[in-house]
Amino acid sequence: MKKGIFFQIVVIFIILLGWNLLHIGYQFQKDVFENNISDSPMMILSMQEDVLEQLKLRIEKKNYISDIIIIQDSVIAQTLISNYDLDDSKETLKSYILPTAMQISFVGEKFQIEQKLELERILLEYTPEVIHYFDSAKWQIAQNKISILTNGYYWGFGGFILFMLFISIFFRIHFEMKSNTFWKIFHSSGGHFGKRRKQFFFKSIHLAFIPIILNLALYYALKYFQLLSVEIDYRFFGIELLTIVISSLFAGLALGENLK
Amino acid sequence: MLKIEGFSLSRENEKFMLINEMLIGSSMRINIFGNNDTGRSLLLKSIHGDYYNYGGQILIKDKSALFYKKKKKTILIDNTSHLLENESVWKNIIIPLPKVTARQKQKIMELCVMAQLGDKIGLKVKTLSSSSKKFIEIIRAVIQLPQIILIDDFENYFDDINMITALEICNFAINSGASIIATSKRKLDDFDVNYRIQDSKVVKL
Repeated sequence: MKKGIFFQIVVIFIILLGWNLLHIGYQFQKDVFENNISDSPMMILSMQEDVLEQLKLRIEKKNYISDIIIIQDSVIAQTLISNYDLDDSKETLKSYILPTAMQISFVGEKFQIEQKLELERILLEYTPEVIHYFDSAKWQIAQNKISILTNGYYWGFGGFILFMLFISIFFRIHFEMKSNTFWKIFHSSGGHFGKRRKQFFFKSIHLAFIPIILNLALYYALKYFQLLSVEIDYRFFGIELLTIVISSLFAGLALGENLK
Repeated sequence: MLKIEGFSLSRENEKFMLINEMLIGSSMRINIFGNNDTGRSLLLKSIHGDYYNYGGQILIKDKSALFYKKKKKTILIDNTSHLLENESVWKNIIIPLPKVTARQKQKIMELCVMAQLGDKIGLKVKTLSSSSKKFIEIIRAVIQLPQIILIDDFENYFDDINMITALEICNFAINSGASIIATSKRKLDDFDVNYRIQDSKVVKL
């Protein structure tokens, strides 16, 4: 019987490990796609610096904006001169009136379709004073990838819930039925009625908590040694625990009279 | 301790065992003997609370068998083996014990030595003779100190010498207030009271 419970703990631990890896893999890949969005800033150009200041004041508090930098025309001229080695044309370049630029960096995680439309609506109000440049194609590709990844993750997540329920209910019933002979002898030899139910309960506690605690310990160890950059929400472990508890309840219901 | 009143067993409207009244106190050794098909096993099952299709009433400490359905005060040792064949003698003895105290451990060892199982305590049960297996069941019952130990077909497993040993083992429980009710085909010696089943009636000798 002890071998049985140990085996079940190991199996549940491995499934949880797989489940956590799915979650970590999803988070990791999603971060990569979101970083692609963060790495593509929007450039806004205007001949009127005060308009850009107004725009900055209006949008800088939005949660999907990570940073806004206003680049003066003189800085732009200086940058062009130094980047393209235009020292000879310095005076010529200075004679031109260059626009002021504003660079908007986004929080990749939060800059989604609604936020993009909102920003475009705001920018429309400032047209034609401002012109904006943004790599929408790159943003769209990243969004599509995130969407596919998220769908795959949800399917995987659901699959893990079903797999965990199936495996843990199946093993629970299998090992309990296997111990029927023992309990028959236990009762006929004078053992206390109700001990089996009590033991089922304690086994359920072990099965629910030991694999989760081992997974949590592994997660925090990896975090402590800075081997893992991805954060796992506490609620995720809660869902795992809930799934195991539900499987024990189902197994208990299925066993019914056997647990007497 | 045990009171049986107006007890009857029926088969196809025919009553085949009748007990008008049977009173069994504590620390007693009772032998009920009779031929096959006289209802000896069913009587023990009825006392144990595993069989309810009988007339009359069986009271243990003034409470019916139903009261003891989940908290049994009796242990029934019947003809079938109730042992884990692939487990050791020791494991089989301690199966029902919630915790083995030092005193219980010492007593189990003493009883095993009496039953000539002292050097076989670690052996698997499947390697033992049927009388040794029955000794294990008796030791297991005795060590729990129940109110009544019910043994079906007592003489089936033991020769005369082993029978005396088995009763000596039972003395441990008897000295603590338990009673033994053993059925057999013939009258057994060394019992305090003998009942005979004759003409479907249980008669005290």
